[in-house]
Amino acid sequence: MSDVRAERSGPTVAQFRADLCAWIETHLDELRPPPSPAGDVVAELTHQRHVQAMLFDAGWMRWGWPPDAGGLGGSPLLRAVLGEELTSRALVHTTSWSMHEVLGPAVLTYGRSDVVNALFPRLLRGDEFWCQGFSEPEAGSDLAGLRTTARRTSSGWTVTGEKLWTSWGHHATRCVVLARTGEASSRARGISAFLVDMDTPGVSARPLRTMAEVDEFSATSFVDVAVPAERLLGEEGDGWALAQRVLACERGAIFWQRGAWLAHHLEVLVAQSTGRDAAAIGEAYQVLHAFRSRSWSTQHTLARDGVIGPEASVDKILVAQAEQAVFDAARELLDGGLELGDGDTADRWRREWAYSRAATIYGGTSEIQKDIVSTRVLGLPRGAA
Amino acid sequence: MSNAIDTALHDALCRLVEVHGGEDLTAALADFGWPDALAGDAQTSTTALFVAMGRTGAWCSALHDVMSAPELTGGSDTIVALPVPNRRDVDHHRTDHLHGLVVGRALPADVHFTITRADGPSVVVVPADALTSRPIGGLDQRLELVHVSAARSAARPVLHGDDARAAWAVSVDAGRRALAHHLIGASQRMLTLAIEHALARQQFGSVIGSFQAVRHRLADAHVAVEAASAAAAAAWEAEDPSLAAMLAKSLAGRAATITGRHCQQVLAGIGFTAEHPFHHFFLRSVVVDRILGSAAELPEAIGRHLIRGGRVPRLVEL
Repeated sequence: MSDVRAERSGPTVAQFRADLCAWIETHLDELRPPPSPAGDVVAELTHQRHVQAMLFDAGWMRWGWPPDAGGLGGSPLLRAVLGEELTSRALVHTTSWSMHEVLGPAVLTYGRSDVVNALFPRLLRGDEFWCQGFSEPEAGSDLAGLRTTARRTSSGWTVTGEKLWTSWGHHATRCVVLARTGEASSRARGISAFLVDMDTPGVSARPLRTMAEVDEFSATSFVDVAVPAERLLGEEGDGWALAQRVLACERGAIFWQRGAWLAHHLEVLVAQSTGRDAAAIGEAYQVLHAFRSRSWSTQHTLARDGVIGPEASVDKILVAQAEQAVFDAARELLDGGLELGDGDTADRWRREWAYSRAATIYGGTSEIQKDIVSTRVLGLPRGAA
Repeated sequence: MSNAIDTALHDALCRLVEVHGGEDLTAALADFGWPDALAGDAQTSTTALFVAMGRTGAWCSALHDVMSAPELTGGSDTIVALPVPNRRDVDHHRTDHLHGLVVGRALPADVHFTITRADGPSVVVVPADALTSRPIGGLDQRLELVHVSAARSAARPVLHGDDARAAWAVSVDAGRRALAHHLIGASQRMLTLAIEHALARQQFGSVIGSFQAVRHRLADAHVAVEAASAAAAAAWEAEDPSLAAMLAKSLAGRAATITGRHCQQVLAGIGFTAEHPFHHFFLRSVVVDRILGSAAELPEAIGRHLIRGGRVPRLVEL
């Protein structure tokens, strides 16, 4: 196991930001997404690969990651700054830009070093995308009830089961799969995690079209999929701890850049405001500012300690509120343009507004977060009703 | 942004409020060297005192110390009147008079007023002997609110135009930050009282804190209070202090509204009685929300501020 906290040389946040912004300004034409229809995922991911390769070659993509994973060391805050400066200029889409951040830190912690050394630089460079095989048709909020199984074989494991809501599953090279290695009744204790190649025989991913008209996630099927022994992440039974780690990482750089993405959209609205919609703009900005102020502490805690506690459920609730407040404001300000407007700009607003409706659902519903807050932060007894 | 709180000073002020939270807080603060503490470390002093007063229900005239910006008072030993929020209830239509609010037992003193005329804002000062004062009862009598007024002819002009606007902004920003912290303290106490009740009160054979409807109300309150606390902390070093102070006050007022509603429901019958302390904190927060801009008014002011500037400032930087 490698430790993401090990390497702390590197530029200060302020220096990194200044240098990065100067570099972005000189490469703006190459970094800007070419025109494509709203919701064209293939175009979006193709552009992201191009941006990631540029950023990797220039070094920006490597700061904040340890050297044995292809990084240059330095504070993980640098990754949040990179995401912020990219999404606040809409150079990449915040949702797809989060793939390496969701799974990267957990795979670094739990993956075997030879696997990490070989694959992680490819993830950073955008040579491959990874997806997250957690949720199942019968295991959404109750993730510990998942039914996908992994059985030991002479050379490793055989994985079988169905996964759902796998973001970018049909575009991914690899998938972090949670599977039951314990008995059916073992709940969280009997879950292990595997890094599975998506081109292994028996793996298939069927795109699921969202109400935002984007093929963003998939239903992913694993039928007797052979997984080599070295692709077990951590030890047998470490899957639940890894899943917790993944969820904690989502509260890190990804949330920070999502805030920047929201601020970008709000700024577009401010620029075209006639002034009579001041209350809607103020409301959205206020909720976004509350999230950002809160997330500031979480980013620093995560960068310092590498872990965050149940308090980070507050961040998840707040970012969902901010996302919905910004696009609620957009709907009001566009004054019919979102519901009825023609053209690409209206399509893009529709897509973002529709996606924001899921903000209280994905990554752990707001209700699950409130259960975590009330039990583990406020000390209330877990109840049945 | 940073967490620039001096822990020793913070804890000392909190202890002081716990011990002297009743009648003698003003005297205890004077003995403590409160003016020097405020001048030396406004963030720690204001945060500690106003949160502690919010948590305990204590109050004094310290809001006027916080708002006594040297830019406005010239460093004189005067107080700055708060604007009267309700223009219907007070005889505000008498434009030949100045009106304001004073809290705690700050009078007698010379009082600064800010007025807006057609040709711009002005700051004026009225000597103590030219003031008429009238106590206001209202929802929270412990605030010791006083309505002060004076004939305009008794006022001496101090600042005008951009100077007045800038000085008043410094004073109001400081007041909003202090009241935000006070609302957060009161909200924290309401939540503590409701959690204690939810852990003790049994119905249907279980403590009510095990029911999801109760748990989620208290979680919602906690989220609102945490958001407001983060914004209040962020208001001390922001690139745009007026915007940050409006946000802090607005979010704290909202947190108190959410917390008051949910905690009252969880406390139910007992929380509605005068025996239970909940109402002190609830009524305090309702009145303080109204002073220097409420959670209902401020979002629109924030929006206008953004539209005027044409951008969405980050305010909080990693």
